[in-house]
Amino acid sequence: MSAGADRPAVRPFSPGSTQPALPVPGAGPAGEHIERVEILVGHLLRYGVALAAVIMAAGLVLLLMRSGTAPHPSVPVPTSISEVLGGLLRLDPTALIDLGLVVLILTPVLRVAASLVAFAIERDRTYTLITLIVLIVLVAGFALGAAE
Amino acid sequence: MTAEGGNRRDTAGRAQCASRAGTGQEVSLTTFTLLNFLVSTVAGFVGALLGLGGGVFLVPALTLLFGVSIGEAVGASAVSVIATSSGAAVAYLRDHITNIRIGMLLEVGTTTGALTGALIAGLLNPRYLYFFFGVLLLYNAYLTFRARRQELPEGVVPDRLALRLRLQGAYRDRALDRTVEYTATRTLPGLLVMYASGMVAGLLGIGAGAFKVLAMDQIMRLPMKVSTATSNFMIGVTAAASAAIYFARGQVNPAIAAPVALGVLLGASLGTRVMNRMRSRTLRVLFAPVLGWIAVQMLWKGWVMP
Repeated sequence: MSAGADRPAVRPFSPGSTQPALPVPGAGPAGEHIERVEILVGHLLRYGVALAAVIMAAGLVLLLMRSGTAPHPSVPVPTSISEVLGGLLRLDPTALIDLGLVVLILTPVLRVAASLVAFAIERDRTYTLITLIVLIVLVAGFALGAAE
Repeated sequence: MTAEGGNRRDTAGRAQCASRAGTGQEVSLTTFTLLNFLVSTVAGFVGALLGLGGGVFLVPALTLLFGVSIGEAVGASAVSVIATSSGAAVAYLRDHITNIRIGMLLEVGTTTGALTGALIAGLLNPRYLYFFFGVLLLYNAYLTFRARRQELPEGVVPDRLALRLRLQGAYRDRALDRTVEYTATRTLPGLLVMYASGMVAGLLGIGAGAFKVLAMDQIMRLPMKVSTATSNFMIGVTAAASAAIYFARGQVNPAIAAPVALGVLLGASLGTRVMNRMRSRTLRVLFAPVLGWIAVQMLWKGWVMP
Protein backbone atom coordinates (compact mmCIF):
# COMPACT_ATOMS: atom_id res chain seq x y z
CA MET A 1 0.00 0.00 0.00
CA SER A 2 1.47 3.32 -0.96
CA ALA A 3 1.77 5.64 1.99
CA GLY A 4 -1.56 7.32 2.44
CA ALA A 5 -2.46 7.57 -1.23
CA ASP A 6 -5.87 5.96 -0.99
CA ARG A 7 -6.73 5.98 2.67
CA PRO A 8 -7.26 8.61 5.31
CA ALA A 9 -4.23 9.69 7.26
CA VAL A 10 -3.15 7.61 10.24
CA ARG A 11 -4.80 9.10 13.26
CA PRO A 12 -2.26 8.99 16.03
CA PHE A 13 -4.62 9.24 18.97
CA SER A 14 -7.18 7.07 20.68
CA PRO A 15 -10.70 8.24 21.51
CA GLY A 16 -10.66 10.43 24.57
CA SER A 17 -7.04 11.40 24.09
CA THR A 18 -6.28 15.10 24.29
CA GLN A 19 -3.54 14.91 21.70
CA PRO A 20 -3.93 17.24 18.74
CA ALA A 21 -4.65 15.80 15.34
CA LEU A 22 -2.11 14.85 12.71
CA PRO A 23 -0.13 17.96 11.77
CA VAL A 24 -0.51 17.91 8.02
CA PRO A 25 0.47 21.28 6.54
CA GLY A 26 -2.63 23.27 5.85
CA ALA A 27 -4.88 20.69 7.46
CA GLY A 28 -6.51 22.72 10.18
CA PRO A 29 -5.36 23.99 13.56
CA ALA A 30 -2.78 21.27 14.21
CA GLY A 31 -1.20 21.86 10.83
CA GLU A 32 -0.85 25.57 11.52
CA HIS A 33 0.73 24.72 14.86
CA ILE A 34 3.91 23.20 13.45
CA GLU A 35 3.83 25.55 10.50
CA ARG A 36 4.29 28.60 12.70
CA VAL A 37 7.40 27.03 14.21
CA GLU A 38 8.66 26.26 10.72
CA ILE A 39 8.09 29.80 9.47
CA LEU A 40 9.88 31.34 12.45
CA VAL A 41 12.84 28.98 12.15
CA GLY A 42 12.95 29.46 8.38
CA HIS A 43 13.10 33.26 8.67
CA LEU A 44 15.82 33.11 11.29
CA LEU A 45 17.91 30.82 9.11
CA ARG A 46 17.43 32.91 6.00
CA TYR A 47 18.47 36.19 7.60
CA GLY A 48 21.33 34.62 9.55
CA VAL A 49 22.74 32.94 6.46
CA ALA A 50 22.30 36.04 4.27
CA LEU A 51 24.03 38.24 6.84
CA ALA A 52 26.91 35.78 7.20
CA ALA A 53 27.28 35.48 3.41
CA VAL A 54 27.36 39.25 2.85
CA ILE A 55 29.98 39.82 5.57
CA MET A 56 32.15 36.92 4.35
CA ALA A 57 31.90 38.01 0.71
CA ALA A 58 32.92 41.57 1.62
CA GLY A 59 35.87 40.27 3.63
CA LEU A 60 36.93 37.91 0.85
CA VAL A 61 36.84 40.64 -1.81
CA LEU A 62 38.92 42.91 0.45
CA LEU A 63 41.37 40.10 1.09
CA LEU A 64 41.79 39.34 -2.61
CA MET A 65 42.26 43.02 -3.41
CA ARG A 66 45.03 43.27 -0.85
CA SER A 67 46.87 40.00 -1.23
CA GLY A 68 45.38 38.21 -4.23
CA THR A 69 48.76 37.39 -5.73
CA ALA A 70 50.19 36.04 -2.48
CA PRO A 71 50.63 32.29 -2.22
CA HIS A 72 47.54 30.53 -0.96
CA PRO A 73 46.27 30.33 1.84
CA SER A 74 48.96 31.92 3.96
CA VAL A 75 46.80 34.23 5.94
CA PRO A 76 47.07 35.05 9.63
CA VAL A 77 44.26 33.65 11.72
CA PRO A 78 42.83 35.79 14.50
CA THR A 79 41.68 33.41 17.19
CA SER A 80 40.37 35.51 20.04
CA ILE A 81 37.37 37.78 20.21
CA SER A 82 39.57 40.78 21.02
CA GLU A 83 41.75 40.05 18.02
CA VAL A 84 38.69 39.88 15.77
CA LEU A 85 37.29 43.11 17.21
CA GLY A 86 40.61 44.91 16.82
CA GLY A 87 40.83 43.68 13.24
CA LEU A 88 37.33 44.90 12.49
CA LEU A 89 38.25 48.40 13.63
CA ARG A 90 41.19 48.32 11.25
CA LEU A 91 38.94 46.90 8.49
CA ASP A 92 41.13 43.81 8.42
CA PRO A 93 39.64 41.48 5.78
CA THR A 94 40.33 38.31 7.75
CA ALA A 95 38.61 39.74 10.81
CA LEU A 96 35.60 40.57 8.64
CA ILE A 97 35.51 37.01 7.30
CA ASP A 98 35.80 35.70 10.85
CA LEU A 99 32.81 37.80 11.91
CA GLY A 100 30.81 36.23 9.07
CA LEU A 101 31.96 32.77 10.14
CA VAL A 102 30.88 33.44 13.72
CA VAL A 103 27.43 34.51 12.50
CA LEU A 104 27.26 31.34 10.36
CA ILE A 105 28.28 29.10 13.28
CA LEU A 106 25.79 30.74 15.63
CA THR A 107 22.82 30.38 13.23
CA PRO A 108 22.02 26.70 13.97
CA VAL A 109 22.30 27.29 17.70
CA LEU A 110 19.96 30.28 17.52
CA ARG A 111 17.67 28.11 15.42
CA VAL A 112 17.40 25.57 18.24
CA ALA A 113 16.75 28.39 20.71
CA ALA A 114 14.03 29.83 18.44
CA SER A 115 12.37 26.41 18.14
CA LEU A 116 12.40 26.17 21.94
CA VAL A 117 10.56 29.48 22.24
CA ALA A 118 8.13 28.53 19.48
CA PHE A 119 7.30 25.14 21.02
CA ALA A 120 6.85 26.79 24.43
CA ILE A 121 4.46 29.38 23.00
CA GLU A 122 2.50 26.57 21.38
CA ARG A 123 2.40 24.87 24.81
CA ASP A 124 3.83 21.72 23.29
CA ARG A 125 5.39 20.35 26.47
CA THR A 126 6.98 17.23 25.02
CA TYR A 127 8.81 19.07 22.28
CA THR A 128 9.72 22.01 24.51
CA LEU A 129 11.44 19.48 26.76
CA ILE A 130 13.12 17.69 23.84
CA THR A 131 14.40 20.97 22.40
CA LEU A 132 15.59 22.08 25.83
CA ILE A 133 17.65 18.88 26.17
CA VAL A 134 19.25 19.49 22.77
CA LEU A 135 20.10 23.07 23.71
CA ILE A 136 21.60 22.09 27.08
CA VAL A 137 23.75 19.36 25.52
CA LEU A 138 24.90 21.81 22.83
CA VAL A 139 25.89 24.42 25.40
CA ALA A 140 27.67 21.70 27.40
CA GLY A 141 29.53 20.74 24.22
CA PHE A 142 30.60 24.35 23.65
CA ALA A 143 31.75 24.62 27.27
CA LEU A 144 33.67 21.35 27.01
CA GLY A 145 35.38 22.58 23.85
CA ALA A 146 36.22 25.94 25.40
CA ALA A 147 37.67 24.27 28.49
CA GLU A 148 39.94 22.08 26.38
CA MET B 1 45.50 31.47 24.57
CA THR B 2 48.27 33.51 23.02
CA ALA B 3 47.00 36.79 21.67
CA GLU B 4 49.81 37.29 19.20
CA GLY B 5 51.95 35.05 17.14
CA GLY B 6 50.79 31.68 18.42
CA ASN B 7 48.56 30.90 15.50
CA ARG B 8 50.13 33.01 12.80
CA ARG B 9 50.76 31.05 9.68
CA ASP B 10 54.14 30.24 8.23
CA THR B 11 54.17 31.24 4.58
CA ALA B 12 57.28 29.30 3.61
CA GLY B 13 56.02 26.13 5.25
CA ARG B 14 52.77 26.34 3.43
CA ALA B 15 54.34 26.93 0.03
CA GLN B 16 56.45 23.83 0.57
CA CYS B 17 53.40 21.92 1.61
CA ALA B 18 51.56 22.96 -1.54
CA SER B 19 54.28 21.85 -3.91
CA ARG B 20 54.81 18.63 -1.98
CA ALA B 21 51.16 17.81 -2.48
CA GLY B 22 51.80 17.66 -6.20
CA THR B 23 50.37 20.95 -7.39
CA GLY B 24 53.76 21.56 -8.95
CA GLN B 25 53.78 25.29 -8.74
CA GLU B 26 52.70 27.98 -6.36
CA VAL B 27 49.07 28.96 -6.80
CA SER B 28 48.01 32.51 -6.01
CA LEU B 29 45.34 33.22 -3.46
CA THR B 30 42.95 34.41 -6.18
CA THR B 31 43.28 31.23 -8.23
CA PHE B 32 42.98 29.10 -5.12
CA THR B 33 39.86 31.02 -4.04
CA LEU B 34 38.17 30.52 -7.41
CA LEU B 35 39.00 26.81 -7.61
CA ASN B 36 37.99 26.30 -4.01
CA PHE B 37 34.71 28.12 -4.63
CA LEU B 38 33.92 25.86 -7.60
CA VAL B 39 34.71 22.63 -5.74
CA SER B 40 32.67 23.86 -2.78
CA THR B 41 29.69 24.67 -4.99
CA VAL B 42 29.65 21.07 -6.19
CA ALA B 43 30.04 19.79 -2.62
CA GLY B 44 27.14 21.97 -1.45
CA PHE B 45 24.95 20.84 -4.33
CA VAL B 46 25.48 17.13 -3.67
CA GLY B 47 25.31 17.67 0.09
CA ALA B 48 21.92 19.39 -0.14
CA LEU B 49 20.54 16.62 -2.37
CA LEU B 50 21.71 13.75 -0.20
CA GLY B 51 21.53 15.19 3.31
CA LEU B 52 25.29 15.10 3.86
CA GLY B 53 27.73 17.79 4.83
CA GLY B 54 30.18 18.67 2.12
CA GLY B 55 33.06 17.20 4.12
CA VAL B 56 33.21 13.90 2.28
CA PHE B 57 34.22 15.67 -0.91
CA LEU B 58 35.82 18.78 0.53
CA VAL B 59 38.45 17.29 2.82
CA PRO B 60 40.04 15.14 0.07
CA ALA B 61 39.78 18.01 -2.43
CA LEU B 62 41.40 20.52 -0.09
CA THR B 63 44.18 18.22 1.09
CA LEU B 64 44.95 16.32 -2.11
CA LEU B 65 44.32 18.99 -4.77
CA PHE B 66 45.24 22.17 -2.95
CA GLY B 67 47.76 20.96 -0.38
CA VAL B 68 45.86 22.39 2.58
CA SER B 69 46.86 20.86 5.93
CA ILE B 70 44.46 18.24 7.28
CA GLY B 71 43.72 20.33 10.38
CA GLU B 72 42.60 23.34 8.37
CA ALA B 73 40.71 21.15 5.90
CA VAL B 74 38.73 19.68 8.80
CA GLY B 75 38.06 23.18 10.14
CA ALA B 76 36.80 24.35 6.74
CA SER B 77 34.74 21.18 6.39
CA ALA B 78 32.95 21.82 9.71
CA VAL B 79 32.06 25.28 8.40
CA SER B 80 30.86 23.73 5.13
CA VAL B 81 28.50 21.39 7.00
CA ILE B 82 26.83 24.37 8.68
CA ALA B 83 26.61 26.18 5.34
CA THR B 84 25.07 23.15 3.62
CA SER B 85 22.63 22.66 6.45
CA SER B 86 21.49 26.26 6.77
CA GLY B 87 21.49 26.85 3.02
CA ALA B 88 19.34 23.80 2.34
CA ALA B 89 17.14 24.04 5.41
CA VAL B 90 15.53 27.30 4.32
CA ALA B 91 14.10 25.83 1.12
CA TYR B 92 13.21 22.42 2.58
CA LEU B 93 11.38 24.04 5.48
CA ARG B 94 9.40 26.20 3.05
CA ASP B 95 8.42 23.11 1.05
CA HIS B 96 7.55 21.23 4.27
CA ILE B 97 9.89 18.36 3.38
CA THR B 98 11.83 18.78 6.60
CA ASN B 99 10.16 17.25 9.64
CA ILE B 100 11.12 19.52 12.53
CA ARG B 101 9.82 17.18 15.24
CA ILE B 102 11.71 14.16 13.93
CA GLY B 103 14.80 16.31 13.48
CA MET B 104 14.65 17.70 16.99
CA LEU B 105 13.99 14.30 18.58
CA LEU B 106 16.87 12.63 16.77
CA GLU B 107 19.07 15.61 17.59
CA VAL B 108 18.82 14.47 21.23
CA GLY B 109 20.54 11.26 20.14
CA THR B 110 23.25 12.89 18.05
CA THR B 111 24.18 15.64 20.52
CA THR B 112 24.39 13.33 23.55
CA GLY B 113 26.27 10.84 21.36
CA ALA B 114 28.74 13.50 20.26
CA LEU B 115 29.29 14.54 23.86
CA THR B 116 29.88 10.91 24.91
CA GLY B 117 32.26 10.50 22.00
CA ALA B 118 34.26 13.53 23.04
CA LEU B 119 34.40 12.28 26.63
CA ILE B 120 35.51 8.71 25.88
CA ALA B 121 37.93 9.65 23.10
CA GLY B 122 41.20 7.96 23.89
CA LEU B 123 39.58 4.95 25.54
CA LEU B 124 38.70 3.32 22.25
CA ASN B 125 41.06 2.53 19.43
CA PRO B 126 39.79 4.56 16.46
CA ARG B 127 41.30 2.06 14.02
CA TYR B 128 38.68 -0.58 14.84
CA LEU B 129 35.92 2.02 14.78
CA TYR B 130 36.97 3.03 11.28
CA PHE B 131 36.91 -0.60 10.15
CA PHE B 132 33.62 -1.35 11.86
CA PHE B 133 31.80 1.66 10.44
CA GLY B 134 33.48 1.32 7.06
CA VAL B 135 32.13 -2.22 6.68
CA LEU B 136 28.74 -1.15 8.03
CA LEU B 137 28.51 1.64 5.44
CA LEU B 138 29.57 -0.69 2.63
CA TYR B 139 26.76 -3.04 3.59
CA ASN B 140 24.32 -0.13 3.67
CA ALA B 141 25.51 1.08 0.29
CA TYR B 142 24.52 -2.35 -1.01
CA LEU B 143 21.13 -2.19 0.75
CA THR B 144 20.45 1.27 -0.66
CA PHE B 145 21.39 0.12 -4.12
CA ARG B 146 19.15 -2.93 -3.78
CA ALA B 147 16.22 -0.69 -2.78
CA ARG B 148 16.84 1.64 -5.72
CA ARG B 149 13.50 0.91 -7.36
CA GLN B 150 11.56 1.81 -4.23
CA GLU B 151 10.03 5.26 -4.61
CA LEU B 152 8.22 5.50 -1.27
CA PRO B 153 8.16 3.25 1.79
CA GLU B 154 5.08 1.05 1.78
CA GLY B 155 2.95 -0.47 4.52
CA VAL B 156 4.63 1.40 7.37
CA VAL B 157 2.86 0.82 10.68
CA PRO B 158 3.81 3.46 13.27
CA ASP B 159 5.12 2.19 16.60
CA ARG B 160 3.79 3.46 19.93
CA LEU B 161 6.54 6.00 20.44
CA ALA B 162 6.05 7.42 16.94
CA LEU B 163 2.35 7.84 17.69
CA ARG B 164 3.01 9.42 21.07
CA LEU B 165 5.57 11.83 19.66
CA ARG B 166 3.47 12.47 16.53
CA LEU B 167 6.21 11.54 14.09
CA GLN B 168 4.01 11.91 11.05
CA GLY B 169 3.84 14.44 8.30
CA ALA B 170 3.05 15.22 4.71
CA TYR B 171 4.79 17.02 1.89
CA ARG B 172 4.06 17.89 -1.69
CA ASP B 173 6.21 15.72 -3.96
CA ARG B 174 6.84 17.62 -7.17
CA ALA B 175 8.28 14.66 -9.05
CA LEU B 176 5.20 12.55 -8.29
CA ASP B 177 2.92 15.60 -8.38
CA ARG B 178 0.99 14.59 -5.29
CA THR B 179 0.96 15.00 -1.53
CA VAL B 180 2.81 12.22 0.26
CA GLU B 181 1.72 11.35 3.78
CA TYR B 182 4.08 9.34 5.91
CA THR B 183 4.71 8.07 9.39
CA ALA B 184 7.82 6.92 11.24
CA THR B 185 8.27 3.52 12.82
CA ARG B 186 10.93 1.82 15.03
CA THR B 187 11.58 5.12 16.78
CA LEU B 188 13.78 3.78 19.57
CA PRO B 189 16.17 1.83 17.30
CA GLY B 190 16.37 4.94 15.10
CA LEU B 191 17.23 7.06 18.12
CA LEU B 192 19.91 4.55 19.23
CA VAL B 193 21.54 4.58 15.79
CA MET B 194 21.53 8.38 15.98
CA TYR B 195 23.26 8.19 19.35
CA ALA B 196 25.90 5.89 17.84
CA SER B 197 26.31 8.17 14.83
CA GLY B 198 26.77 11.16 17.12
CA MET B 199 29.38 9.22 19.08
CA VAL B 200 31.27 8.31 15.91
CA ALA B 201 31.11 11.94 14.81
CA GLY B 202 32.54 13.00 18.15
CA LEU B 203 35.26 10.33 18.08
CA LEU B 204 36.29 10.42 14.46
CA GLY B 205 35.43 14.00 13.58
CA ILE B 206 33.17 13.06 10.70
CA GLY B 207 29.84 14.67 9.96
CA ALA B 208 27.91 11.40 10.05
CA GLY B 209 25.17 12.78 7.79
CA ALA B 210 25.19 9.43 5.99
CA PHE B 211 24.22 7.64 9.22
CA LYS B 212 21.40 10.09 9.83
CA VAL B 213 19.92 9.49 6.38
CA LEU B 214 20.30 5.72 6.82
CA ALA B 215 18.64 5.71 10.23
CA MET B 216 15.64 7.65 8.92
CA ASP B 217 15.40 5.91 5.56
CA GLN B 218 16.13 2.30 6.45
CA ILE B 219 15.22 2.00 10.14
CA MET B 220 12.43 4.51 10.68
CA ARG B 221 11.25 4.01 7.12
CA LEU B 222 10.62 7.64 6.23
CA PRO B 223 10.48 8.72 2.58
CA MET B 224 13.94 9.33 1.10
CA LYS B 225 13.27 13.04 0.56
CA VAL B 226 12.13 13.54 4.14
CA SER B 227 15.23 11.70 5.33
CA THR B 228 17.71 13.80 3.36
CA ALA B 229 15.94 17.10 4.08
CA THR B 230 15.67 16.36 7.81
CA SER B 231 19.28 15.19 7.91
CA ASN B 232 20.27 18.48 6.26
CA PHE B 233 18.37 20.32 8.97
CA MET B 234 20.12 18.35 11.72
CA ILE B 235 23.76 18.27 10.61
CA GLY B 236 24.20 22.00 11.18
CA VAL B 237 23.36 21.75 14.87
CA THR B 238 25.99 19.12 15.68
CA ALA B 239 28.54 20.74 13.39
CA ALA B 240 28.10 24.13 15.11
CA ALA B 241 29.58 22.74 18.31
CA SER B 242 32.63 21.25 16.59
CA ALA B 243 33.10 24.30 14.32
CA ALA B 244 33.21 26.52 17.39
CA ILE B 245 35.94 24.34 18.87
CA TYR B 246 38.00 24.39 15.66
CA PHE B 247 37.49 28.14 15.47
CA ALA B 248 38.83 28.65 18.98
CA ARG B 249 41.84 26.47 18.16
CA GLY B 250 42.69 28.69 15.16
CA GLN B 251 41.98 25.80 12.78
CA VAL B 252 39.49 27.80 10.73
CA ASN B 253 41.55 29.74 8.20
CA PRO B 254 39.42 32.60 6.83
CA ALA B 255 41.11 32.44 3.40
CA ILE B 256 40.04 28.79 3.06
CA ALA B 257 36.74 28.84 4.94
CA ALA B 258 35.23 31.92 3.23
CA PRO B 259 35.26 30.56 -0.35
CA VAL B 260 34.17 27.17 1.03
CA ALA B 261 31.21 28.64 2.90
CA LEU B 262 30.14 30.90 0.02
CA GLY B 263 30.49 28.15 -2.60
CA VAL B 264 28.64 25.63 -0.46
CA LEU B 265 25.81 28.10 0.20
CA LEU B 266 25.40 28.64 -3.55
CA GLY B 267 25.59 24.91 -4.30
CA ALA B 268 23.14 24.03 -1.55
CA SER B 269 20.54 26.53 -2.73
CA LEU B 270 20.89 25.14 -6.27
CA GLY B 271 20.54 21.60 -4.91
CA THR B 272 17.31 22.38 -3.09
CA ARG B 273 15.77 23.62 -6.32
CA VAL B 274 16.46 20.28 -7.97
CA MET B 275 15.80 17.80 -5.17
CA ASN B 276 12.01 17.93 -4.91
CA ARG B 277 11.74 17.53 -8.68
CA MET B 278 13.84 14.38 -8.62
CA ARG B 279 12.53 10.87 -8.09
CA SER B 280 13.50 9.28 -4.80
CA ARG B 281 14.82 6.42 -6.93
CA THR B 282 17.31 8.79 -8.52
CA LEU B 283 18.36 10.00 -5.07
CA ARG B 284 18.99 6.41 -3.98
CA VAL B 285 21.02 5.67 -7.09
CA LEU B 286 23.17 8.72 -6.25
CA PHE B 287 23.31 7.93 -2.53
CA ALA B 288 24.59 4.33 -2.87
CA PRO B 289 27.95 5.13 -4.53
CA VAL B 290 28.51 8.10 -2.19
CA LEU B 291 28.04 5.72 0.76
CA GLY B 292 30.53 3.37 -0.85
CA TRP B 293 32.99 6.24 -1.24
CA ILE B 294 32.63 7.24 2.44
CA ALA B 295 33.09 3.58 3.44
CA VAL B 296 36.29 3.27 1.40
CA GLN B 297 37.61 6.49 2.94
CA MET B 298 36.95 5.14 6.43
CA LEU B 299 38.54 1.77 5.73
CA TRP B 300 41.55 3.55 4.25
CA LYS B 301 41.94 5.77 7.31
CA GLY B 302 41.75 2.73 9.59
CA TRP B 303 44.32 0.96 7.43
CA VAL B 304 46.95 3.73 7.32
CA MET B 305 46.48 4.63 10.97
CA PRO B 306 49.70 4.05 12.96
